Amino acid sequence: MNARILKTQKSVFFSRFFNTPTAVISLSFLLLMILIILLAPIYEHLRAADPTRVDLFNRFLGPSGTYILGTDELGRDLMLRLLNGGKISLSIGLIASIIAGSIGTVLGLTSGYFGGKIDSIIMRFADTIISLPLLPLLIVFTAIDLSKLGIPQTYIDMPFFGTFKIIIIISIVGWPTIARLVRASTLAVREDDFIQVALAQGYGPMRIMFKHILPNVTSPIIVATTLNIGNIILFESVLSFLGLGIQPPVASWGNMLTGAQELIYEDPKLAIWPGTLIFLTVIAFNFLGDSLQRAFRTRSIQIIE
Amino acid sequence: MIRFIINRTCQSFIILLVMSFFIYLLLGLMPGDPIDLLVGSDPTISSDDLQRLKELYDIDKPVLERYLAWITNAVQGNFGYSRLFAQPVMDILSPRLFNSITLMSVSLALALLVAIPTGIYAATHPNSLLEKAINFLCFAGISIPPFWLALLFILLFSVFAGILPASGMETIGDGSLIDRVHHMILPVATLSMATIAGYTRHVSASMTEVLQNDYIRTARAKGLLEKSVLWRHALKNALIPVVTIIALDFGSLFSGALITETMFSWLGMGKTIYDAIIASDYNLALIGLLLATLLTLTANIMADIAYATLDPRINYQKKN
Repeated sequence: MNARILKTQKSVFFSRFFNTPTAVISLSFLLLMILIILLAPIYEHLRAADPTRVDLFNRFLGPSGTYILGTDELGRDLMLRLLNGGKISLSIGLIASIIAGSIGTVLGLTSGYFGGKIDSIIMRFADTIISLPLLPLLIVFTAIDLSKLGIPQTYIDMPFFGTFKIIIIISIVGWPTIARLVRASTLAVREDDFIQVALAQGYGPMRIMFKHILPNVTSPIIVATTLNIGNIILFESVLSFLGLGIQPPVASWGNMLTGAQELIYEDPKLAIWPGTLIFLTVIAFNFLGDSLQRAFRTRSIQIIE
Repeated sequence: MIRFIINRTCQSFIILLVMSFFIYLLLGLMPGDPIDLLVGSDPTISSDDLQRLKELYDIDKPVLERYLAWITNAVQGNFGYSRLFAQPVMDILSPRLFNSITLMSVSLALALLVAIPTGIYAATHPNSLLEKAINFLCFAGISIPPFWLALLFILLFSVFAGILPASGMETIGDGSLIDRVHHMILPVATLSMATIAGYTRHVSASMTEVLQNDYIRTARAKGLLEKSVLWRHALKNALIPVVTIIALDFGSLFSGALITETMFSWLGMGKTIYDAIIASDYNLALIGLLLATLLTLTANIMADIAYATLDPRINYQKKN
């Protein structure tokens, strides 16, 4: 009986989800983009090209057979840089939202399950973070000299350290929205009979939180995490645009726009391409999150029926 | 109510104090220190002299001791000098604070002027073609990177059409009111665009919820004009959560202003904080960040007060 209800819930969810045009378009767009970005090294290899290679004799070229989208102010292949930038921007979005989602889930579960003092401390903390002017604070975070914190210079100079730093910084501020949602759902689930049964069987709080409550609050977590990916990609692009995020020569969609403002009279395409890709990716994640939410909502209505 | 306000003010004061220490600590972790920057002008200085200078300015003391010395001065109204501008920090920040508040309040007013009617329309015409278009535009609005929107505006109106200035607050030598307004159009458009989408979604969601209430059905059943039902009965209640969300969202409005000011060289708080951090002007950055935090906390208190004033059902005394 239980398994049958679960099966129909799933099929209702999938049919609702795949019957939403925006959901299908967004999902296909994102999957296609990820596929293209993953295949980029093959394209690089075939063309024997390097996205960081400077060629001052071929600056500001228009689209051509060799350079599909032309070249930038240093004669670098714009298409290759967009693909590499996409890899960085998307990985940051996905990884940081998973980290922020995990922190938020653990804190939200703890807050909702234990209640009382623990709850009010965690929630006060989350509310304070949400209400602060985050961008100026993030700028300070990115400007920190990590060697003063005792991190050896050899680590700081490693190529992926910058990406890693941005992921950590963004995760710190990304968790409160998830924590609040998980807490609200936990509060609702906690009163259910099966939790009382679990308590009566003498299970510890860890087991109840992660084995009994967590599976029942996954849908809001999935929705919020999807919506968070878009926000995080926006945050990364702003920080990189301001020269504080991903540092050149590593490309990200944000830092590709840094020079574009000065060159806007000379070569507008440099401003248009990276921005369009950020915009399309973020809107796709937002539509995806929204469609998931709607599909999950119809699922809960089905259960009541 | 008064007790509640005092309570909230005290809480905010504690948050501000904690933030001041936290920001002080973070700024101390930024590359170099004031003496390193100072000796840049004298490359021949010996390391003994360097040490003496650091002792003279207490840079070698532990951070807690320096923080206490700083806050003692700050409480007495002595906020120190900006290295970047060679002026007292407050002399630089007060006109810029005014510029930021001008930019933010004009954009906020414009955003509300657009968002409220649009949100109401979306809530009252679900599944209509226009509602779908509004919904799509809202998604576009929350997904567009604000600095890129600014770039597009510059591209369209300054580069291609050539009708609006791409940066600055006034033409040098002009500075008349019309000239200033002319310079304000693109920054205000950028900042309000970034906020309209979010506000419209809030208004629409809140209005949809309110319209399902029984008293709306009663009002309609009484034969009231739909206009009166919407604007007098529904909107009044729908705006309560909207006011709260907007005031609580002040932090992100400030973040948006930082981007807009940087893009259009608008001499406001956000741009000043950014420039100060980039140029390692620790003192200016510290006071700027604290002012921004203070502004946000004040907006949050005002949100709570507005919530209680607008909704007579809220009684903060009972809750405690």
